Amino acid sequence: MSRPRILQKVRSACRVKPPAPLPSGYPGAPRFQDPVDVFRRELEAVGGVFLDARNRNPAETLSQVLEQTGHTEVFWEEEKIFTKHGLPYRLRLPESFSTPNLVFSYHYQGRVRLPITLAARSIELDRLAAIPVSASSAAFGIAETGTIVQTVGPGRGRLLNVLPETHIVFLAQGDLLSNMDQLLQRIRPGEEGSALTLVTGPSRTADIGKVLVKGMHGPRRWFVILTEDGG
Amino acid sequence: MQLRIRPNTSAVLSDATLQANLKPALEKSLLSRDRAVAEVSNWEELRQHAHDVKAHTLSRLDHYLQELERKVMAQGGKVVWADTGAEALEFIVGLLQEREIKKVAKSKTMLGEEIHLNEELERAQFDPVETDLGEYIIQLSRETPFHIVTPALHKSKEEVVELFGRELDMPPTDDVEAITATARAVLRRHFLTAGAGITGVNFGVAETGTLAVVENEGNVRLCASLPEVHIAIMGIEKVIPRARDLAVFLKLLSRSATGQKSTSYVNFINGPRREGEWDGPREFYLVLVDNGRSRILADPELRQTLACIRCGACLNVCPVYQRIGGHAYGSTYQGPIGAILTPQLTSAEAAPEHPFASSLCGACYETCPVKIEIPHILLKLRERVQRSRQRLARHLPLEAWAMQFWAWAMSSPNRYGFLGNLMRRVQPYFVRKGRMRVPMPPFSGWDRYRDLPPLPEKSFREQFRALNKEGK
Repeated sequence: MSRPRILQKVRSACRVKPPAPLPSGYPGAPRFQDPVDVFRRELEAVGGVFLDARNRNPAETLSQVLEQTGHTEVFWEEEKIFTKHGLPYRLRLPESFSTPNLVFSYHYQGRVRLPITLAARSIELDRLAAIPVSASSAAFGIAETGTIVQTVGPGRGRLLNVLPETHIVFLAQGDLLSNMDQLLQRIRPGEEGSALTLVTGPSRTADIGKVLVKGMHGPRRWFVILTEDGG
Repeated sequence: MQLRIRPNTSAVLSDATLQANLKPALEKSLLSRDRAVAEVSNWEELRQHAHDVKAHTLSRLDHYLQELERKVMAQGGKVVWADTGAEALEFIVGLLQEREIKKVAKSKTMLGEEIHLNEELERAQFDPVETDLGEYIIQLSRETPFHIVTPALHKSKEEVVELFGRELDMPPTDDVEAITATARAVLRRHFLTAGAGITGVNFGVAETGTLAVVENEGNVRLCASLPEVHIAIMGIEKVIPRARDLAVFLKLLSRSATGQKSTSYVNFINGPRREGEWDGPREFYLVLVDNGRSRILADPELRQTLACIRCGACLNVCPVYQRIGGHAYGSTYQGPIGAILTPQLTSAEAAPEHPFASSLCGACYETCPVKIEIPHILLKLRERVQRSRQRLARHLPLEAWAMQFWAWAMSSPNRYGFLGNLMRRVQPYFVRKGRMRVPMPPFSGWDRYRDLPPLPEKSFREQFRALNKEGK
């Protein structure tokens, strides 16, 4: 057992010098008059697509994204998308809509659970990994960096946000903050769930010849739909 | 075993392709870094804050490690303490055996490189797969990282195509998107069948038991959520006190490392999946690794080395790294930080050339987001090497005499002036093509790689006196 040995070594090493004080304050971070404008600019700079649905039906904006990307189905697992972002439970698509087979699949988690047995698990994982488009609701947005915050909890997993090539995030205007310091004053990591991810743009790599490529392991196409508060 | 640098350099310096590609690639990183830093009006304040927080944390490291341990355990995670790399490996191998896991998905971790995690797992008949694209390239080509942040920086597109063609049957292409897509597909398969995920840790927050891990590709997200077991390995110096400090450190890290305002993903991990959550690992282990760090902590002046957040900015800016690259260092950590960390993690005798692989220009200190005084530490370590050489009696007396003579000459204006005049008298015999050459040892060894300009006809003091007279 190395714990006591390491702690003993660390303790005596610490004593060679008097303790240094911990800064009591924190450096400032920018606050914006119009965070939406900054958020949009930063998000587009990292290769995301920003869609403003504050003055329109978010369902229509979502349909547009799907049509644009050539998909007919989108998966999500949160009821919040309906209640918070004002998507009607029964989606009524415009008559003119060109993809009549469009399916909105709600509550992925309600239909599938990851079983413990390895064989069954791998089948479910394969099904999960085959999903091309998913949607989620962001807990917060951060304007300074064009970031959205995804949390985990009952009915809100992590895999559906990472595995598909296309991901669509709904963010309510009231949840848009200016900077990360505000976020960390607002939430305590770990309080709500076992994981929290700050997402800034699509998945990317520049490991081959310093050329920037999107969609290394996570989503290649990344949309953020801004909605009005309360829906 | 002694780590040398000098014998490795001539091959690198004569590699024309590498020399042509390396500096522009590093300058590209530097340019984005400078742009991202210039935007932050209180950058210096952030640096100082981070520096002070690290200094405080290190001075009370035992306290914060125990707090972190408590918080991680309260969330259902398990904490393992490893005195050495071997102990960390022993635990990981034991756990994988017990769970009957063969395949392990790994994200990039410098600590993993330091303790030779891949080699040891392979030796124990496991199947570790690097999932960061750069690390995957390095793993397939059986090399070591060339750079802390971009491990495959030295690999050209053509070399990667050749490598993937050989190892993954990828058809020839010159489209980087196609190469990346191949890697995505291959690695996705590995992810879906891996029994455990191993990641590093950038910051461990004592206050909340949060482990923050930054990345761009999404492979850390997958390593930490797909497999049933997640093992995070962390050097004991990576702990920070409060969650709000993350805002400062993450800003400094992403902007310094790649010039991004934020990396694509910042993962906050708080233990295994909880009641009601439907995905995520069922078991979470945090392995705290000392491996020489407590020894570094015990030196009041060198302790600050442990404040490093592994952004790699000092590599990009270093004129020595820009020429010799990462492999010449022969160690896990390269560039200025490698030059100070390597001899401390091992010993002055084991890496005697590392502290000398620097021109002491100070660019690393200027760039360092946590203000580590790298040039100062280099000098301290040089002193240590010199002392150990003297102890070993392998020190040339000639050098000591030369230094004593130099000190004697420099400490009196008359002696200095006299010797300067003497030099001016004899130097015409040694000047060839505008440079001084002394074609006999030990001078010939010195001036083979260096230019010694001839002394001007009049010394500075003579010129100064003449100017003063004119002025009157």
